[in-house]
Amino acid sequence: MLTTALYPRCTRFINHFSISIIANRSLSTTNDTIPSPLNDNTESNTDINRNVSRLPDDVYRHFKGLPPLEIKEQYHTRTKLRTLWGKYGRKTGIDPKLCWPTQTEMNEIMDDERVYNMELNEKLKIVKERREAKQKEIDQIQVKVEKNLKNMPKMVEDYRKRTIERERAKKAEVKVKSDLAEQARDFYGFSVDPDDERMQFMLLQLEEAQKTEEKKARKAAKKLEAHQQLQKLMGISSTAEVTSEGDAPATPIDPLAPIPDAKDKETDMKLFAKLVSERSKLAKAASRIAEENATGQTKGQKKK
Amino acid sequence: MPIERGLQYLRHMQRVTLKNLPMPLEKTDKWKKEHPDENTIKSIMSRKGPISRNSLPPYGIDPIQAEGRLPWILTVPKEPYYEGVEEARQYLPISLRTLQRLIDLRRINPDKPVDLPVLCNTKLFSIQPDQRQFGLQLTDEGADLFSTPINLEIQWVASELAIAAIERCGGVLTTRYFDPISLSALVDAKKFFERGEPIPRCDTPPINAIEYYTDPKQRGYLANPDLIREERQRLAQKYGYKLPDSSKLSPLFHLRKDPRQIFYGLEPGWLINLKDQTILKPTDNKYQTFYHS
Repeated sequence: MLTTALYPRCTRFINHFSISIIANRSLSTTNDTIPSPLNDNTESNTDINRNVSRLPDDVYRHFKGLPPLEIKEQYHTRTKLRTLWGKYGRKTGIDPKLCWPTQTEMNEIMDDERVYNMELNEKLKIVKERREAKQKEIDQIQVKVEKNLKNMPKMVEDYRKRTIERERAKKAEVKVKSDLAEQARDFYGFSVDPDDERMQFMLLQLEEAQKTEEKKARKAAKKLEAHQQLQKLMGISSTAEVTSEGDAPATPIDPLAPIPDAKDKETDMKLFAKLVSERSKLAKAASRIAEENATGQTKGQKKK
Repeated sequence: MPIERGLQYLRHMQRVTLKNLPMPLEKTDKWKKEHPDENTIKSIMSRKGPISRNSLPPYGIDPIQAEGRLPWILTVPKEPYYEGVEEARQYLPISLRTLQRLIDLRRINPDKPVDLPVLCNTKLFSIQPDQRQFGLQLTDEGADLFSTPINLEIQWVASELAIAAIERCGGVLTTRYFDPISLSALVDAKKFFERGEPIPRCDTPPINAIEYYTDPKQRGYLANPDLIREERQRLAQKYGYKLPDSSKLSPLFHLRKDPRQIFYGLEPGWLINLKDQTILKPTDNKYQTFYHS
Protein backbone atom coordinates (compact mmCIF):
# COMPACT_ATOMS: atom_id res chain seq x y z
CA MET A 1 0.00 0.00 0.00
CA LEU A 2 2.71 2.38 -0.89
CA THR A 3 1.58 5.75 -2.04
CA THR A 4 3.26 8.05 -4.50
CA ALA A 5 3.71 10.69 -1.86
CA LEU A 6 7.15 10.52 -0.38
CA TYR A 7 7.33 10.75 3.36
CA PRO A 8 9.80 13.32 4.55
CA ARG A 9 11.49 10.80 6.74
CA CYS A 10 12.27 8.42 3.95
CA THR A 11 13.75 11.04 1.63
CA ARG A 12 17.25 10.36 2.84
CA PHE A 13 17.22 6.83 1.61
CA ILE A 14 15.15 7.36 -1.43
CA ASN A 15 17.40 10.10 -2.83
CA HIS A 16 20.12 7.57 -3.23
CA PHE A 17 17.92 5.10 -5.05
CA SER A 18 17.79 5.24 -8.77
CA ILE A 19 14.68 6.71 -10.31
CA SER A 20 13.50 3.47 -11.93
CA ILE A 21 12.95 1.72 -8.58
CA ILE A 22 10.65 4.45 -7.38
CA ALA A 23 8.60 4.13 -10.54
CA ASN A 24 8.25 0.34 -10.21
CA ARG A 25 7.13 0.65 -6.67
CA SER A 26 4.38 2.98 -7.55
CA LEU A 27 3.35 0.84 -10.52
CA SER A 28 3.10 -2.31 -8.53
CA THR A 29 0.62 -1.02 -6.06
CA THR A 30 -1.76 1.53 -7.52
CA ASN A 31 -3.12 2.66 -10.81
CA ASP A 32 -2.36 6.31 -10.23
CA THR A 33 -0.26 8.40 -12.57
CA ILE A 34 3.41 7.68 -12.57
CA PRO A 35 5.32 10.47 -11.03
CA SER A 36 8.15 11.76 -13.16
CA PRO A 37 10.74 13.40 -10.98
CA LEU A 38 12.71 14.38 -14.12
CA ASN A 39 10.05 16.86 -15.21
CA ASP A 40 9.49 18.04 -11.70
CA ASN A 41 11.11 21.44 -11.54
CA THR A 42 9.09 22.61 -8.61
CA GLU A 43 10.43 24.03 -5.45
CA SER A 44 10.49 20.67 -3.81
CA ASN A 45 13.27 19.48 -5.98
CA THR A 46 15.49 22.50 -5.43
CA ASP A 47 14.73 22.72 -1.74
CA ILE A 48 15.90 19.21 -1.20
CA ASN A 49 19.18 19.11 0.59
CA ARG A 50 21.40 16.78 -1.35
CA ASN A 51 24.32 17.17 0.99
CA VAL A 52 24.49 13.97 2.87
CA SER A 53 28.13 13.98 3.79
CA ARG A 54 27.77 15.77 7.08
CA LEU A 55 30.47 18.18 5.97
CA PRO A 56 30.11 21.89 6.50
CA ASP A 57 28.86 23.88 3.58
CA ASP A 58 32.00 25.60 2.40
CA VAL A 59 34.03 22.43 2.55
CA TYR A 60 31.40 20.60 0.57
CA ARG A 61 31.37 23.30 -2.05
CA HIS A 62 35.12 23.30 -2.30
CA PHE A 63 35.09 19.57 -2.69
CA LYS A 64 32.64 19.73 -5.51
CA GLY A 65 34.36 22.60 -7.24
CA LEU A 66 31.62 25.10 -6.76
CA PRO A 67 32.23 28.75 -6.00
CA PRO A 68 31.58 29.93 -2.43
CA LEU A 69 28.22 31.49 -1.66
CA GLU A 70 29.52 34.44 0.27
CA ILE A 71 32.79 36.18 -0.29
CA LYS A 72 34.27 37.45 2.93
CA GLU A 73 35.43 41.01 3.32
CA GLN A 74 39.02 39.92 3.50
CA TYR A 75 38.72 38.51 0.01
CA HIS A 76 37.66 41.74 -1.59
CA THR A 77 41.18 42.46 -2.86
CA ARG A 78 41.75 42.40 -6.57
CA THR A 79 44.15 39.48 -6.66
CA LYS A 80 41.84 37.21 -4.70
CA LEU A 81 38.81 38.15 -6.76
CA ARG A 82 40.79 37.44 -9.88
CA THR A 83 41.68 33.99 -8.63
CA LEU A 84 38.04 33.29 -7.87
CA TRP A 85 37.05 34.33 -11.34
CA GLY A 86 39.85 32.27 -12.82
CA LYS A 87 38.87 29.14 -10.96
CA TYR A 88 35.07 29.23 -11.01
CA GLY A 89 34.19 31.36 -13.96
CA ARG A 90 30.99 33.21 -14.58
CA LYS A 91 29.06 31.69 -11.71
CA THR A 92 30.83 33.82 -9.18
CA GLY A 93 29.31 36.92 -10.66
CA ILE A 94 32.59 38.82 -10.66
CA ASP A 95 33.17 41.33 -13.43
CA PRO A 96 36.22 40.32 -15.54
CA LYS A 97 37.16 43.99 -15.84
CA LEU A 98 39.05 43.55 -12.60
CA CYS A 99 41.62 41.30 -14.20
CA TRP A 100 43.19 43.95 -16.40
CA PRO A 101 45.10 46.94 -14.99
CA THR A 102 43.28 50.27 -14.76
CA GLN A 103 43.95 53.21 -17.03
CA THR A 104 46.26 55.00 -14.60
CA GLU A 105 48.14 51.80 -13.91
CA MET A 106 48.50 51.23 -17.62
CA ASN A 107 50.05 54.66 -18.06
CA GLU A 108 52.51 53.89 -15.28
CA ILE A 109 53.39 50.58 -16.84
CA MET A 110 54.05 52.15 -20.20
CA ASP A 111 56.29 54.81 -18.64
CA ASP A 112 58.20 52.17 -16.70
CA GLU A 113 58.79 50.08 -19.77
CA ARG A 114 60.07 53.07 -21.66
CA VAL A 115 62.52 53.98 -18.92
CA TYR A 116 63.77 50.63 -17.73
CA ASN A 117 63.59 48.43 -20.79
CA MET A 118 65.48 49.46 -23.90
CA GLU A 119 64.14 48.71 -27.30
CA LEU A 120 65.74 46.12 -29.52
CA ASN A 121 67.23 48.70 -31.87
CA GLU A 122 69.10 50.44 -29.10
CA LYS A 123 70.42 47.19 -27.71
CA LEU A 124 71.65 46.10 -31.10
CA LYS A 125 73.39 49.45 -31.53
CA ILE A 126 75.18 49.09 -28.22
CA VAL A 127 76.33 45.59 -29.08
CA LYS A 128 77.64 46.80 -32.43
CA GLU A 129 79.49 49.70 -30.86
CA ARG A 130 81.22 47.47 -28.36
CA ARG A 131 82.29 45.06 -31.04
CA GLU A 132 83.65 47.85 -33.22
CA ALA A 133 85.56 49.44 -30.36
CA LYS A 134 87.26 46.13 -29.63
CA GLN A 135 88.16 45.69 -33.26
CA LYS A 136 89.56 49.20 -33.39
CA GLU A 137 91.91 48.55 -30.52
CA ILE A 138 93.15 45.37 -32.12
CA ASP A 139 93.73 47.16 -35.42
CA GLN A 140 95.70 49.93 -33.77
CA ILE A 141 97.95 47.45 -32.09
CA GLN A 142 98.40 45.53 -35.33
CA VAL A 143 99.59 48.66 -37.14
CA LYS A 144 102.17 49.31 -34.45
CA VAL A 145 103.35 45.75 -34.55
CA GLU A 146 103.81 45.75 -38.29
CA LYS A 147 105.74 49.00 -38.10
CA ASN A 148 108.08 47.72 -35.48
CA LEU A 149 108.64 44.40 -37.17
CA LYS A 150 110.33 46.18 -40.06
CA ASN A 151 112.83 47.75 -37.69
CA MET A 152 113.42 44.54 -35.80
CA PRO A 153 116.81 43.46 -37.23
CA LYS A 154 118.15 46.97 -36.82
CA MET A 155 117.01 47.19 -33.24
CA VAL A 156 118.51 43.82 -32.42
CA GLU A 157 121.89 44.82 -33.80
CA ASP A 158 121.82 48.12 -31.97
CA TYR A 159 121.01 46.38 -28.74
CA ARG A 160 123.89 43.99 -29.17
CA LYS A 161 126.32 46.77 -29.88
CA ARG A 162 125.15 48.68 -26.88
CA THR A 163 125.65 45.72 -24.58
CA ILE A 164 129.16 45.10 -25.89
CA GLU A 165 130.08 48.74 -25.44
CA ARG A 166 128.71 48.79 -21.94
CA GLU A 167 130.72 45.76 -20.92
CA ARG A 168 133.84 47.19 -22.42
CA ALA A 169 133.28 50.47 -20.64
CA LYS A 170 132.89 48.70 -17.32
CA LYS A 171 136.03 46.72 -17.83
CA ALA A 172 137.87 49.88 -18.85
CA GLU A 173 136.67 51.65 -15.74
CA VAL A 174 137.97 48.87 -13.53
CA LYS A 175 141.25 48.78 -15.39
CA VAL A 176 141.82 52.50 -15.24
CA LYS A 177 141.09 52.69 -11.54
CA SER A 178 143.34 49.78 -10.72
CA ASP A 179 146.15 51.27 -12.83
CA LEU A 180 145.87 54.60 -11.08
CA ALA A 181 145.88 52.91 -7.70
CA GLU A 182 149.02 50.98 -8.64
CA GLN A 183 150.71 54.14 -9.88
CA ALA A 184 149.92 55.93 -6.64
CA ARG A 185 151.26 52.98 -4.69
CA ASP A 186 154.48 53.03 -6.62
CA PHE A 187 154.69 56.79 -6.24
CA TYR A 188 154.12 57.01 -2.50
CA GLY A 189 155.24 53.62 -1.30
CA PHE A 190 152.00 52.65 0.47
CA SER A 191 148.36 52.13 -0.62
CA VAL A 192 146.48 55.35 -1.06
CA ASP A 193 142.70 55.87 -0.93
CA PRO A 194 141.16 57.28 -4.09
CA ASP A 195 139.33 59.92 -2.09
CA ASP A 196 142.42 61.22 -0.44
CA GLU A 197 144.14 64.43 -1.33
CA ARG A 198 147.35 62.73 -2.36
CA MET A 199 145.66 61.02 -5.29
CA GLN A 200 144.41 64.34 -6.56
CA PHE A 201 147.87 65.78 -6.06
CA MET A 202 149.35 62.97 -8.06
CA LEU A 203 146.76 63.29 -10.80
CA LEU A 204 147.51 66.98 -11.13
CA GLN A 205 151.18 66.20 -11.50
CA LEU A 206 150.38 63.64 -14.17
CA GLU A 207 148.21 66.11 -16.01
CA GLU A 208 150.94 68.72 -15.97
CA ALA A 209 153.40 66.17 -17.24
CA GLN A 210 151.01 65.21 -20.05
CA LYS A 211 150.49 68.82 -21.02
CA THR A 212 154.21 69.50 -21.24
CA GLU A 213 154.56 66.37 -23.35
CA GLU A 214 151.85 67.46 -25.72
CA LYS A 215 153.39 70.93 -26.07
CA LYS A 216 156.72 69.42 -26.91
CA ALA A 217 155.14 67.02 -29.37
CA ARG A 218 153.34 69.88 -31.09
CA LYS A 219 156.54 71.90 -31.27
CA ALA A 220 158.37 68.92 -32.70
CA ALA A 221 155.62 68.37 -35.27
CA LYS A 222 155.80 72.01 -36.31
CA LYS A 223 159.53 71.81 -36.60
CA LEU A 224 159.22 68.71 -38.75
CA GLU A 225 156.78 70.40 -41.08
CA ALA A 226 158.97 73.48 -41.44
CA HIS A 227 161.97 71.25 -42.08
CA GLN A 228 160.12 69.31 -44.77
CA GLN A 229 159.05 72.46 -46.55
CA LEU A 230 162.58 73.80 -46.48
CA GLN A 231 163.90 70.56 -47.88
CA LYS A 232 161.34 70.58 -50.65
CA LEU A 233 162.45 74.03 -51.66
CA MET A 234 166.11 73.05 -51.35
CA GLY A 235 165.99 69.63 -52.98
CA ILE A 236 165.25 65.92 -52.54
CA SER A 237 168.85 65.00 -51.66
CA SER A 238 168.52 65.33 -47.92
CA THR A 239 165.96 62.54 -47.35
CA ALA A 240 168.29 60.65 -45.06
CA GLU A 241 168.78 63.68 -42.85
CA VAL A 242 165.04 63.82 -42.25
CA THR A 243 165.04 60.54 -40.44
CA SER A 244 168.05 61.40 -38.27
CA GLU A 245 166.70 64.82 -37.48
CA GLY A 246 163.35 63.24 -36.66
CA ASP A 247 164.98 61.16 -33.84
CA ALA A 248 166.94 64.01 -32.23
CA PRO A 249 164.17 66.16 -30.81
CA ALA A 250 162.69 63.13 -29.04
CA THR A 251 161.62 64.11 -25.54
CA PRO A 252 163.33 62.68 -22.45
CA ILE A 253 161.14 60.02 -20.86
CA ASP A 254 159.55 61.27 -17.64
CA PRO A 255 159.93 58.70 -14.85
CA LEU A 256 156.58 59.73 -13.40
CA ALA A 257 154.73 59.49 -16.69
CA PRO A 258 152.83 56.24 -17.22
CA ILE A 259 153.95 53.80 -19.83
CA PRO A 260 151.33 54.04 -22.50
CA ASP A 261 149.92 50.98 -24.18
CA ALA A 262 149.00 53.46 -26.79
CA LYS A 263 145.87 52.32 -28.52
CA ASP A 264 144.25 50.30 -25.78
CA LYS A 265 144.85 52.95 -23.20
CA GLU A 266 143.35 55.64 -25.32
CA THR A 267 140.25 53.64 -26.05
CA ASP A 268 139.96 52.59 -22.41
CA MET A 269 140.17 56.14 -21.23
CA LYS A 270 137.70 57.22 -23.83
CA LEU A 271 135.20 54.58 -22.79
CA PHE A 272 135.69 55.54 -19.17
CA ALA A 273 135.12 59.15 -20.08
CA LYS A 274 131.96 58.17 -21.91
CA LEU A 275 130.61 56.33 -18.87
CA VAL A 276 131.37 59.26 -16.63
CA SER A 277 129.70 61.66 -19.02
CA GLU A 278 126.60 59.47 -19.22
CA ARG A 279 126.33 59.29 -15.50
CA SER A 280 126.81 63.02 -15.18
CA LYS A 281 124.13 63.58 -17.80
CA LEU A 282 121.69 61.42 -15.88
CA ALA A 283 122.58 63.22 -12.69
CA LYS A 284 122.03 66.57 -14.33
CA ALA A 285 118.66 65.53 -15.72
CA ALA A 286 117.58 64.18 -12.34
CA SER A 287 118.63 67.35 -10.64
CA ARG A 288 116.73 69.41 -13.19
CA ILE A 289 113.54 67.40 -12.61
CA ALA A 290 113.96 67.75 -8.87
CA GLU A 291 114.34 71.48 -9.25
CA GLU A 292 111.22 71.71 -11.37
CA ASN A 293 109.20 69.76 -8.83
CA ALA A 294 110.49 71.92 -6.06
CA THR A 295 109.59 75.10 -7.93
CA GLY A 296 106.16 73.74 -8.70
CA GLN A 297 105.55 72.97 -5.05
CA THR A 298 106.74 76.37 -3.98
CA LYS A 299 104.48 77.99 -6.56
CA GLY A 300 101.53 76.03 -5.26
CA GLN A 301 102.32 77.07 -1.74
CA LYS A 302 102.63 80.66 -2.77
CA LYS A 303 99.24 80.59 -4.47
CA LYS A 304 97.65 79.30 -1.30
CA MET B 1 142.01 56.22 7.58
CA PRO B 2 142.46 53.72 10.39
CA ILE B 3 146.25 53.61 10.23
CA GLU B 4 146.51 57.37 10.40
CA ARG B 5 144.20 57.50 13.38
CA GLY B 6 146.27 54.94 15.23
CA LEU B 7 149.44 56.88 14.59
CA GLN B 8 147.77 60.04 15.91
CA TYR B 9 146.75 58.31 19.11
CA LEU B 10 150.30 57.20 19.56
CA ARG B 11 151.52 60.74 19.18
CA HIS B 12 149.05 62.47 21.46
CA MET B 13 148.16 60.01 24.22
CA GLN B 14 150.23 59.12 27.25
CA ARG B 15 149.26 55.49 27.40
CA VAL B 16 147.53 53.43 24.82
CA THR B 17 145.53 50.44 26.04
CA LEU B 18 142.49 48.59 24.89
CA LYS B 19 140.31 50.45 27.34
CA ASN B 20 141.58 53.89 26.41
CA LEU B 21 140.88 53.55 22.75
CA PRO B 22 137.43 54.69 21.60
CA MET B 23 135.22 51.82 20.63
CA PRO B 24 133.27 51.50 17.40
CA LEU B 25 129.59 52.34 17.75
CA GLU B 26 128.45 48.79 17.41
CA LYS B 27 130.15 47.60 20.57
CA THR B 28 128.81 50.19 23.02
CA ASP B 29 126.09 49.23 25.48
CA LYS B 30 123.78 51.95 24.24
CA TRP B 31 123.70 50.55 20.74
CA LYS B 32 123.28 47.01 22.02
CA LYS B 33 120.17 47.95 23.96
CA GLU B 34 118.52 49.43 20.92
CA HIS B 35 119.51 46.55 18.65
CA PRO B 36 119.14 43.36 20.72
CA ASP B 37 120.51 40.04 19.72
CA GLU B 38 118.50 37.12 18.47
CA ASN B 39 119.13 35.18 21.66
CA THR B 40 118.14 38.07 23.90
CA ILE B 41 114.89 38.45 21.96
CA LYS B 42 114.09 34.80 22.41
CA SER B 43 114.75 34.97 26.13
CA ILE B 44 112.44 37.99 26.53
CA MET B 45 109.55 36.74 24.42
CA SER B 46 106.95 34.28 25.60
CA ARG B 47 107.13 30.67 24.61
CA LYS B 48 103.45 30.40 23.76
CA GLY B 49 101.04 32.17 21.46
CA PRO B 50 100.88 32.64 17.73
CA ILE B 51 104.18 34.54 17.56
CA SER B 52 106.23 31.70 18.95
CA ARG B 53 104.38 29.09 16.93
CA ASN B 54 104.97 30.86 13.63
CA SER B 55 101.28 31.24 12.94
CA LEU B 56 101.01 34.98 12.53
CA PRO B 57 99.08 36.50 9.67
CA PRO B 58 101.10 37.17 6.58
CA TYR B 59 103.21 40.21 5.93
CA GLY B 60 101.24 43.44 5.73
CA ILE B 61 98.75 42.80 8.53
CA ASP B 62 99.07 44.32 11.99
CA PRO B 63 99.51 41.35 14.37
CA ILE B 64 98.17 43.28 17.35
CA GLN B 65 94.92 44.21 15.63
CA ALA B 66 94.61 40.77 14.11
CA GLU B 67 94.64 39.14 17.59
CA GLY B 68 96.58 36.20 16.35
CA ARG B 69 94.25 35.20 13.52
CA LEU B 70 93.52 36.26 10.00
CA PRO B 71 90.93 38.99 9.47
CA TRP B 72 87.57 37.67 8.41
CA ILE B 73 87.83 38.93 4.87
CA LEU B 74 90.99 36.94 4.29
CA THR B 75 89.78 33.64 5.66
CA VAL B 76 87.89 32.95 2.43
CA PRO B 77 90.26 32.48 -0.50
CA LYS B 78 89.94 34.65 -3.53
CA GLU B 79 89.16 32.76 -6.70
CA PRO B 80 88.51 35.26 -9.42
CA TYR B 81 87.24 32.69 -11.86
CA TYR B 82 83.99 32.71 -9.86
CA GLU B 83 83.40 36.34 -10.67
CA GLY B 84 80.03 36.44 -12.43
CA VAL B 85 78.22 33.71 -10.52
CA GLU B 86 75.60 35.93 -8.88
CA GLU B 87 74.37 37.27 -12.16
CA ALA B 88 74.79 34.23 -14.40
CA ARG B 89 71.81 32.62 -16.04
CA GLN B 90 71.07 28.96 -15.39
CA TYR B 91 69.56 26.51 -17.80
CA LEU B 92 68.47 23.00 -16.82
CA PRO B 93 69.81 20.32 -19.13
CA ILE B 94 67.70 18.07 -21.29
CA SER B 95 69.39 15.54 -23.51
CA LEU B 96 68.32 14.15 -26.86
CA ARG B 97 68.11 10.78 -25.17
CA THR B 98 65.39 11.89 -22.75
CA LEU B 99 63.53 13.54 -25.60
CA GLN B 100 63.54 10.34 -27.62
CA ARG B 101 62.49 8.40 -24.56
CA LEU B 102 59.55 10.69 -23.88
CA ILE B 103 58.45 10.40 -27.48
CA ASP B 104 58.65 6.61 -27.41
CA LEU B 105 56.68 6.43 -24.20
CA ARG B 106 54.07 8.74 -25.72
CA ARG B 107 54.42 11.48 -23.16
CA ILE B 108 55.14 13.99 -25.87
CA ASN B 109 53.39 14.24 -29.20
CA PRO B 110 55.91 14.94 -31.96
CA ASP B 111 53.22 15.85 -34.44
CA LYS B 112 52.64 19.09 -32.61
CA PRO B 113 55.29 21.67 -31.83
CA VAL B 114 57.23 20.87 -28.68
CA ASP B 115 57.54 23.81 -26.41
CA LEU B 116 58.53 24.70 -22.83
CA PRO B 117 55.00 24.21 -21.38
CA VAL B 118 54.73 20.87 -23.14
CA LEU B 119 57.97 19.72 -21.55
CA CYS B 120 57.06 21.10 -18.15
CA ASN B 121 53.68 19.37 -18.15
CA THR B 122 55.48 16.06 -17.99
CA LYS B 123 56.53 17.13 -14.47
CA LEU B 124 60.06 15.95 -14.99
CA PHE B 125 61.67 19.39 -14.82
CA SER B 126 61.20 21.83 -11.97
CA ILE B 127 62.22 25.24 -13.20
CA GLN B 128 62.35 27.99 -10.57
CA PRO B 129 62.45 31.51 -12.00
CA ASP B 130 63.41 32.86 -8.57
CA GLN B 131 66.73 31.08 -8.72
CA ARG B 132 67.88 32.74 -11.92
CA GLN B 133 66.80 29.78 -14.01
CA PHE B 134 65.82 30.81 -17.49
CA GLY B 135 64.68 27.59 -19.10
CA LEU B 136 66.13 24.46 -20.63
CA GLN B 137 69.23 23.72 -22.65
CA LEU B 138 69.89 20.90 -25.08
CA THR B 139 72.85 18.57 -24.59
CA ASP B 140 74.69 16.16 -26.79
CA GLU B 141 73.89 12.85 -25.21
CA GLY B 142 71.97 10.52 -27.50
CA ALA B 143 72.72 12.14 -30.82
CA ASP B 144 73.01 8.72 -32.42
CA LEU B 145 69.65 7.53 -31.13
CA PHE B 146 67.54 10.47 -32.08
CA SER B 147 65.30 9.70 -35.03
CA THR B 148 62.09 11.68 -35.07
CA PRO B 149 61.31 14.93 -36.83
CA ILE B 150 60.30 17.47 -34.25
CA ASN B 151 59.65 21.19 -33.99
CA LEU B 152 61.59 22.10 -30.91
CA GLU B 153 61.90 25.37 -29.09
CA ILE B 154 64.56 25.57 -26.46
CA GLN B 155 66.36 28.31 -24.56
CA TRP B 156 70.01 27.47 -25.07
CA VAL B 157 72.12 25.15 -27.17
CA ALA B 158 75.83 24.79 -26.58
CA SER B 159 76.94 22.26 -29.17
CA GLU B 160 76.57 21.94 -32.90
CA LEU B 161 76.08 18.19 -32.68
CA ALA B 162 72.69 18.55 -31.06
CA ILE B 163 71.48 20.91 -33.76
CA ALA B 164 72.79 18.59 -36.46
CA ALA B 165 71.14 15.56 -34.89
CA ILE B 166 67.73 17.22 -34.96
CA GLU B 167 68.05 18.59 -38.46
CA ARG B 168 69.26 15.33 -39.86
CA CYS B 169 65.93 13.69 -39.03
CA GLY B 170 64.06 16.54 -40.62
CA GLY B 171 63.29 18.59 -37.54
CA VAL B 172 63.47 22.27 -36.79
CA LEU B 173 65.17 23.99 -33.89
CA THR B 174 64.88 27.53 -32.57
CA THR B 175 66.32 29.14 -29.49
CA ARG B 176 64.14 31.58 -27.64
CA TYR B 177 64.44 33.84 -24.64
CA PHE B 178 61.79 34.09 -21.91
CA ASP B 179 61.48 36.60 -19.09
CA PRO B 180 61.17 35.45 -15.52
CA ILE B 181 57.60 36.76 -15.45
CA SER B 182 56.61 34.95 -18.59
CA LEU B 183 58.54 31.90 -17.43
CA SER B 184 56.33 31.62 -14.38
CA ALA B 185 53.36 31.62 -16.72
CA LEU B 186 54.82 28.90 -18.92
CA VAL B 187 56.16 26.55 -16.32
CA ASP B 188 52.77 25.85 -14.78
CA ALA B 189 50.18 26.92 -17.31
CA LYS B 190 47.13 25.68 -15.48
CA LYS B 191 48.05 27.53 -12.30
CA PHE B 192 48.66 30.66 -14.28
CA PHE B 193 45.22 30.58 -15.90
CA GLU B 194 43.61 30.04 -12.53
CA ARG B 195 45.22 33.23 -11.31
CA GLY B 196 43.08 35.25 -13.68
CA GLU B 197 45.77 37.50 -15.15
CA PRO B 198 46.08 38.49 -18.76
CA ILE B 199 48.87 36.86 -20.72
CA PRO B 200 52.10 38.87 -20.21
CA ARG B 201 54.24 40.36 -22.92
CA CYS B 202 57.73 38.93 -23.29
CA ASP B 203 60.67 41.32 -23.01
CA THR B 204 63.67 41.46 -25.30
CA PRO B 205 66.77 39.65 -24.09
CA PRO B 206 69.44 41.49 -22.07
CA ILE B 207 72.54 42.91 -23.72
CA ASN B 208 74.55 39.86 -22.63
CA ALA B 209 72.37 37.56 -24.65
CA ILE B 210 71.54 39.53 -27.75
CA GLU B 211 74.60 38.29 -29.57
CA TYR B 212 73.52 34.73 -28.94
CA TYR B 213 69.91 35.16 -30.01
CA THR B 214 70.76 37.06 -33.19
CA ASP B 215 73.28 34.41 -34.24
CA PRO B 216 72.15 32.13 -37.08
CA LYS B 217 74.61 29.47 -35.95
CA GLN B 218 72.63 29.02 -32.74
CA ARG B 219 69.32 29.36 -34.59
CA GLY B 220 68.29 32.40 -32.59
CA TYR B 221 64.76 33.70 -32.91
CA LEU B 222 65.93 37.19 -33.80
CA ALA B 223 68.25 36.05 -36.56
CA ASN B 224 67.80 36.44 -40.27
CA PRO B 225 66.00 33.39 -41.70
CA ASP B 226 68.06 33.50 -44.89
CA LEU B 227 71.26 33.13 -42.91
CA ILE B 228 69.70 30.27 -40.99
CA ARG B 229 69.08 28.40 -44.20
CA GLU B 230 72.73 28.82 -45.16
CA GLU B 231 73.83 27.52 -41.80
CA ARG B 232 71.62 24.46 -42.15
CA GLN B 233 73.34 23.54 -45.39
CA ARG B 234 76.75 24.23 -43.91
CA LEU B 235 76.06 21.87 -41.02
CA ALA B 236 74.79 19.23 -43.41
CA GLN B 237 78.03 19.40 -45.33
CA LYS B 238 80.12 19.34 -42.18
CA TYR B 239 78.50 16.30 -40.61
CA GLY B 240 77.82 14.48 -43.85
CA TYR B 241 74.08 14.09 -44.11
CA LYS B 242 71.53 15.26 -46.62
CA LEU B 243 68.91 17.79 -45.65
CA PRO B 244 65.46 16.32 -46.19
CA ASP B 245 62.87 18.36 -48.06
CA SER B 246 61.09 20.88 -45.97
CA SER B 247 58.04 21.01 -48.18
CA LYS B 248 56.91 17.54 -47.17
CA LEU B 249 56.56 18.49 -43.55
CA SER B 250 53.23 19.36 -42.05
CA PRO B 251 52.38 23.04 -41.69
CA LEU B 252 52.83 22.77 -37.94
CA PHE B 253 56.56 22.60 -38.48
CA HIS B 254 56.60 26.07 -39.88
CA LEU B 255 54.96 27.56 -36.80
CA ARG B 256 57.02 30.22 -35.15
CA LYS B 257 56.24 32.57 -32.37
CA ASP B 258 56.28 36.31 -32.44
CA PRO B 259 59.03 37.81 -30.29
CA ARG B 260 56.39 39.05 -27.85
CA GLN B 261 54.29 35.90 -27.86
CA ILE B 262 54.48 33.19 -25.26
CA PHE B 263 51.88 30.56 -26.14
CA TYR B 264 51.17 29.20 -29.55
CA GLY B 265 47.95 30.71 -30.86
CA LEU B 266 47.40 33.07 -27.93
CA GLU B 267 48.37 36.70 -27.94
CA PRO B 268 49.49 38.80 -25.00
CA GLY B 269 46.71 40.76 -23.33
CA TRP B 270 44.06 38.07 -23.63
CA LEU B 271 42.19 36.67 -20.65
CA ILE B 272 41.45 32.99 -20.59
CA ASN B 273 39.02 31.06 -18.44
CA LEU B 274 39.34 27.32 -18.40
CA LYS B 275 36.07 26.71 -16.59
CA ASP B 276 33.94 28.71 -18.96
CA GLN B 277 36.19 27.93 -21.94
CA THR B 278 36.20 31.53 -23.06
CA ILE B 279 38.75 34.05 -24.23
CA LEU B 280 38.33 37.74 -23.48
CA LYS B 281 40.20 40.40 -25.39
CA PRO B 282 40.70 44.06 -24.53
CA THR B 283 39.13 46.57 -26.86
CA ASP B 284 40.80 49.77 -25.73
CA ASN B 285 43.32 51.15 -28.20
CA LYS B 286 45.95 51.86 -25.58
CA TYR B 287 45.92 48.34 -24.29
CA GLN B 288 46.02 46.85 -27.73
CA THR B 289 48.98 48.91 -28.85
CA PHE B 290 50.88 48.14 -25.69
CA TYR B 291 50.35 44.42 -25.80
CA HIS B 292 50.94 44.05 -29.50
CA SER B 293 54.04 46.24 -29.80
